Order: sequence, then C-alpha cells, then structure tokens
Amino acid sequence: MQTTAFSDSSDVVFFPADKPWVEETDGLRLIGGQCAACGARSFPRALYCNNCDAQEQPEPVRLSAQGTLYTFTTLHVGPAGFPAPRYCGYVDLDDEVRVFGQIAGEQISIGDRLGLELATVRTLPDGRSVVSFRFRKVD
Amino acid sequence: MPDVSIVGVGMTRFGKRQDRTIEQLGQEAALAALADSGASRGDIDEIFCGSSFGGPLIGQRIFRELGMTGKPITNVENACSSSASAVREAIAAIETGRAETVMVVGIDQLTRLGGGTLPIEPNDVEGNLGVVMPAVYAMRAKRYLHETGATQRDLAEIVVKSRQNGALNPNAQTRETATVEQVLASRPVADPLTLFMCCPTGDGAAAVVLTSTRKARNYRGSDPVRICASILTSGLYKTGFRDMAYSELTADTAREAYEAAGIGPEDLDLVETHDAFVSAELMYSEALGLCERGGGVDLFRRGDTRIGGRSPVNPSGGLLCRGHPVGATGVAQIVESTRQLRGEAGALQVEGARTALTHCTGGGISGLDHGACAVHVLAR
Repeated sequence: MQTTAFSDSSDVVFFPADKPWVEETDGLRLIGGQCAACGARSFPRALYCNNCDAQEQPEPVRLSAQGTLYTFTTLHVGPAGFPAPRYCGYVDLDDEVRVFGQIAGEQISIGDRLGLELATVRTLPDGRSVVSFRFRKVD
Repeated sequence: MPDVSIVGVGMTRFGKRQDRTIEQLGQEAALAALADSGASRGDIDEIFCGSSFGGPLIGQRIFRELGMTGKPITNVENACSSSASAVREAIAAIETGRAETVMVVGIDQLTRLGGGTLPIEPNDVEGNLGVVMPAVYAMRAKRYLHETGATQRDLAEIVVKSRQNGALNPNAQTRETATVEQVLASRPVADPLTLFMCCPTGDGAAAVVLTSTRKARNYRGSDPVRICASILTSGLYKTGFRDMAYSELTADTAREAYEAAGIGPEDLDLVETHDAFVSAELMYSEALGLCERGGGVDLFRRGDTRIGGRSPVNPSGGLLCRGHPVGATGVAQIVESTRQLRGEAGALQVEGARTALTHCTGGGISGLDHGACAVHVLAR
C-alpha cells in the first residue's frame, strides 16, 4: 500500500487536525481509543469512554491496517469541495471498529478487503486541500 | 395510554414555497388548525413548535403577529423528529394538568438553505469526510439489497406507488406520476438511489390542536381522534459493528408504542412512515412489524401497502411525494392520518380506517443509526 507524502504547509490542512494515524510497514494505521477500564475501542479517540463510567480518557491504540467493506455507495452529490462522483463506505476493521471513509478506485464490492492511505478528500473554498485517510482495495 | 385527543388539524401545501416567509407558512397552518377545531386563539394555553432549520425563536416569530404571545412557547429541535417530539411534549403538558388545550406546529423552509443536500454539522467526523443524508440511506439500501436479494427495480416500483398516491394529495409537493423506467432513468444521486427515489427539498408547515379527551367535545363535535401512544427514542451510539440492513431503533420504538396502545401491527389500518428515501419504506415496513424481516418487497408485491391493501403505507405519498420540510414532517403525518381516521381524506381515503401509526426518524450524525425516532398511534 503506497501512501503519498503530505507535510504541513500553507496549502494543506489535515483532518482530523491531530492526525490520528501512523505509517507502518504494513500500511497506514488509524489511532483510535481503548478504554483502560472496559477495553472498548472507538475511532476517533474520544475524551470519554462511551461504554462505561470511566473518567479517564481512553488510551491511544493502533487499529488494524485492514478491514472488510460492509457497505458503500457511489455518491454524485455535494457538499461543495468534495469530488463527485466519489466512493464512500463503512469498513469493519479487524479489531471490531467500523470506520467511514472515502474509497479509492471503482471496482469494489461488499466483502472486499481494504487498506488505508492518505489522500486529499476535499478542497476548501480558499483552495487549500484537506488531507485525511482513505480506503483502497488490497489484493 | 395518554388521555389526549386531536381536535384540530391544518397544513399548508408543501413545495418550494418562496411565495411566503417561514413565519407566514406557520401562521397559515396554525390558523387552519384553529379553524378546524373551533377553538379561538385565546383558548390555546401553550404552544410547541418543532423545527430543525427555522432558527432561533421560530415559535415566537410565527405567533407574535397572531397576538398569541405571553403564553409559554417552547421550540423543539430534533432533526426529522422535531415536531413529533413537540407533540410528545404537548401531551405531557396536558397530562400534568398544566395546560388544557395546546397548539403544536411543525415547520421548515429548506429553500432558505439554498438547495441541495442538508448542511452537515461542522464537528461531525463523517460529515467532514463527505457523508450526506442520501449517502447514509444509500449505504443502508446497498446492504439491504445485498442481504435480501431485492433489486433497484423493486425500489423503482415502490416509487411508482408513492407517486400514484402523491398525485391524489392536494398538499403534496410532487404530484406527477412516473413509470419504473422514468424512475430508473432519473439522475443518479447515490447508488442505488436515483433522484426520484429521494424526497425533494421543500417548504411547509403543519399544525394540530390537542386537548384532554374529556374536553375534546367542547371543540369539535363528535369525532375527536385519540392519541393512543407517543413514544420518542434516540439512536444508540455504537463505535463497533452495526446491522444497517434493519432498523433496530424503529423496531424498538414501535414495540414500545404497540405496548402503550395495547395493539399490534395487524390492527393498523394505515401507516405513515419515514420514507425520506424509498428504500426506507421497505426497511421500516419490516421494523414496524408489518411483515417479517426481509419480507418488505413481498409485502409490497402482494399489494398490501397500497391504498385498498391490507396495510396501506404512506397513502399521503409519504415524504417522497408529500415532501419533507424536515421539522414539519411529524405533525404533517399526524394531520394526514387524522383526516384518514375522520373519513376526510378524499381521494386518498383508506375505507373504514380506525387506527393509524405515524413514524418519523432521522438526523445523521456519526455513530448513531439516527438521531431520534418518534412513533404515534392514533385511533377513533
């Protein structure tokens, strides 16, 4: 899985702004949260656990590099600044966290195995690119 | 079961209503409901106004020019369930004895937003990655078709039914019939949904006057419609896997409503459900218990959901054709169903209708299947 190098510049903003991902040998991995008390995982990492009464913020946890496409659509409409048509869907990462994202490529089906990469997902009205994670089919 | 009845209903024609301000749309619906009830403006003890995009103090902005300020006015925002949620609050106001006769208005004017898909909440993760409501419904539809074997053509055939009903509804935004081929050939929006499978952007208002059942005869002769259940839930936040081919939220809400009303789905003479996109009519028919899970297409093919069928679904044309000015929908469904139960639904009339269910749900934010879900059961 290739990831394009994106660095901070006046032309690029990242979403989410805290760049909750890390590039590893097996591809891009998202950083989610895992509650120290109950073990529940989520993405993005929230300030509080949604599954128990813990007061502490869930710990950062590297999520799986791959997942299975649960459902998707080819989207032909807005909002402004997003490519159209674009492919987006829900991917069930192997650690039981479901993540929504855009999907590169066209020949995709429910059940496909997908990995992650960084890409421009949107262009802001001032011309800056919004860079975030995106899914792509793996062999 | 609440001891509350509907004694007055009114609504504007739905559509692109830039001929009126949003306040004027609300005034038209409110005065129509008052006239229908026989109540005077002074008879109203409290007002609840449901709107999602109407802006601050929408209720006060509607009612000040009718001289109806001074009494409590509460504005309720709950996305597509805004005015259904307002009805629930109005019932509570009557049940506590705090108010005797209450007005509820549902309203939105989406043309004020400039058209296109509904705006996204700026802090929402999925919204920032480009999700919009048609995509949410399309992804559910895709999974539903994948699991049930239903086809895009099945969806188109349901649109044809909705269009036939909408053509008979003088308040509907879309009154043109369409063929299966025309539905399939309309502009693609979000696969498998084409334009004709999506509700239009529009404007409108609907209003009801509610009072305690024992007071109902003071206002409107002998035919008050009773509210037998008023249930509101919010979607459960889930970060893990979720079944998107079935609406657990709607099923849970409906179950509570059936228990409160002491009836089951087999007792319903008609259903107004939240078909913001046509695939939703299939999935909600199942979740409301009109058929078993996965049986939505067969239910439709048997003709059961048509006017004259065993359980007519969206005889008004539904959100798809009546239109969906978001905050107006919950009360509009109650207005249409009340007219059915009174036998005043004209060309849309379901013969002998005695019991109706209205269902709205919606609001797209990450992690929730829907923001809110409201179910009402009405009977005569």
